[in-house]
Amino acid sequence: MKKLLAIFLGSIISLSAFATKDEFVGFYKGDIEGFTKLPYAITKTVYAEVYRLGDNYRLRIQPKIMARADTYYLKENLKAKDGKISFEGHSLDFKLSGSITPEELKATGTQGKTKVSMSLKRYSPHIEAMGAKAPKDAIVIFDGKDMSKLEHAGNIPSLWTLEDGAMIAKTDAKNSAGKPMRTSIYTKEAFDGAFKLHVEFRIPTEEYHLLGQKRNNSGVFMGDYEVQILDSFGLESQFNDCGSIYRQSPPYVNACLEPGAWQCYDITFYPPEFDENGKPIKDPVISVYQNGVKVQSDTIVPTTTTGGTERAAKYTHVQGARKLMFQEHTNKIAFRNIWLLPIEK
Amino acid sequence: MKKFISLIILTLISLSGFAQKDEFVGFYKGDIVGLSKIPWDLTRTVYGEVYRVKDEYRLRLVGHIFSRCTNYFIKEGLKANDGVINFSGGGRLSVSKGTITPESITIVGKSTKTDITLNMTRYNPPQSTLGQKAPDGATVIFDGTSTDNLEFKGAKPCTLEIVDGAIAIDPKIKGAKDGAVVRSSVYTKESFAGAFKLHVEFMCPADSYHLLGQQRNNSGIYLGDYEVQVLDSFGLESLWDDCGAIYKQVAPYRNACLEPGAWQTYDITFYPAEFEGNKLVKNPRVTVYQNDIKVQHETEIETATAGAASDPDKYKHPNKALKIMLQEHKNKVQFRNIWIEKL
Repeated sequence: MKKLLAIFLGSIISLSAFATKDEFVGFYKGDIEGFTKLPYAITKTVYAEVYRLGDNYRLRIQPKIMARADTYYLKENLKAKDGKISFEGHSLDFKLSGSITPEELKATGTQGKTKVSMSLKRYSPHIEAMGAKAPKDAIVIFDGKDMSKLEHAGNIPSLWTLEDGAMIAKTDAKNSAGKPMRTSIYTKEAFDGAFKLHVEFRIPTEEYHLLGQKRNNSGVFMGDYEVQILDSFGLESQFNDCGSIYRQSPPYVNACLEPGAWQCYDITFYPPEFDENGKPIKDPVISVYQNGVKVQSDTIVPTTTTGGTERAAKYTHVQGARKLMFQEHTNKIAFRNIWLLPIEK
Repeated sequence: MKKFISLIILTLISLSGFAQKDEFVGFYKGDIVGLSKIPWDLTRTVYGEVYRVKDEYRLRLVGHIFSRCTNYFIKEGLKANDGVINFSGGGRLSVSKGTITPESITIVGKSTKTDITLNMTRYNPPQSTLGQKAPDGATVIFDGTSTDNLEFKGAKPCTLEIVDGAIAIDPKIKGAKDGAVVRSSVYTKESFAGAFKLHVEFMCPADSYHLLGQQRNNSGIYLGDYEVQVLDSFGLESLWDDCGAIYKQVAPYRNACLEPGAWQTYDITFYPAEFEGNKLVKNPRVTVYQNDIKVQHETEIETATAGAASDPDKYKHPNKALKIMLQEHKNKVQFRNIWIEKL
């Protein structure tokens, strides 16, 4: 019994350790030393990206992040041991031997015949829009404390958790019949016309073992149109990844930060337009900056993003004001600092 | 000797065969038959993309082209035998028997547990501006009849031959005066100030299946010091140096490339840098549609693209009219129907 209890306690500890932010995952930045003259295709400043799947880490060194730049060095299936990740060997442009700690990446080696070294420090991109205050004429949807502007479907008051100025999706809610219930949260107010929407979100760090759409899925819905939220850090972004107009338009670049980091969306939404008989004459148009990086620019959205392709094929844009919805898709996504600024016609 | 000649002839034939458009490479399109209801993550209409490296083919089945969507099926390392490519395997659509011919792809397989068939025929995506004539008031740069509005570097006459209304960049071209080999990057004689729309059609020849990356039919359209990359990037994940890129600055939003050997369109809108006196107040911006697909939208260009200036970090946008240049980058990329409309 004691043994069983110990195992039980052990698993709780390892589960909770699993849920803290991985100490290696994220970006590093620094300079390469050793070149008297830089080769044509190599930059002096480089970025490293550490990505994790299960217990395996992947290291990628590139001239730029969030740009689909070429890769200088790539090593997969690395393991953390005694607080560091060691790597060595030839890959693409470099032959390197080095190690990664939570604070820095150091390596020495060669590029062609040149002896080089690099020393990179942890890097968090500066995001101008992060923490942006609601302008004077904006409608504050969530200020970190007050949940009164939000509700669940069926006018159910918020079941989400308030914590450190953020609201966190409740994933284990039950309905009155005791059945599991999704707790996507809607604005009480519906919005007509065009608007700018600022929203900050944080993806939890508990799903390194999952891939694709299972890895912390959520979304910002403007009526029937979704800007996807997902942990797509480190991936080739596809049409259903973070920053996409879900399954319609892939984000232009992967502008994701690592899970556990606060990120922001600045979305501009132009609603569909209708003639006097209520017939749609113009599709909605959406622009999205993710962490200050343009990932959608005047993207035309010809149909709904929800309900699959058959529904989308038959869908007609709906006239009238629409609510915003922040999706609970079984994952504990956190949101904060949400405001909407109507755009005057 | 006879044997030797026939060997030479054979080599010539096979070389010229190599330079012809591959009969399989490109897009196919068709509908799934056998599903009364389409699952939410499938489309009824499916596109096939056949890509080639050396003598191996890759087939992908997708719900949309030019969109970085998920694959329904992917198979690499396929070989052509007797005019067909046979394939089978698992995926979101699983294939028990599949055949690619130059005209069609036929598939017998399953979607989850339901039997399906999928018959696709060759597909050429719409190109609404292909062959579009220069509008009234536009400046014709090259209409297929004369290279009078073009020149080589240093105001040297353009000696490129016109074949079928197109010019092919020729890395071995000889100049008019002394017969020495010259760089055959081609410049407009005229310089353009202010914002403009540029229409240009280009074709990456189907002669480089053995090459990869930047070596596969590289060229570029330079708007002064800013390059819109031209490259055979068909079938690839488009990076920041691929076709449609603002070279090594901004990756194309999607891979909108057609297969090598197909004529493609660029419709480029360029807004030059803005100055107050000598002070830069706005970086140049560019919008690019490739084959009707938006691959750049009001993209801000912070500095000269790589290779266009000795030190892009110290580069200052010039406040002057610019020439358009079609780059010679060791490959015989072709161009036609080029015109500019000032805005």
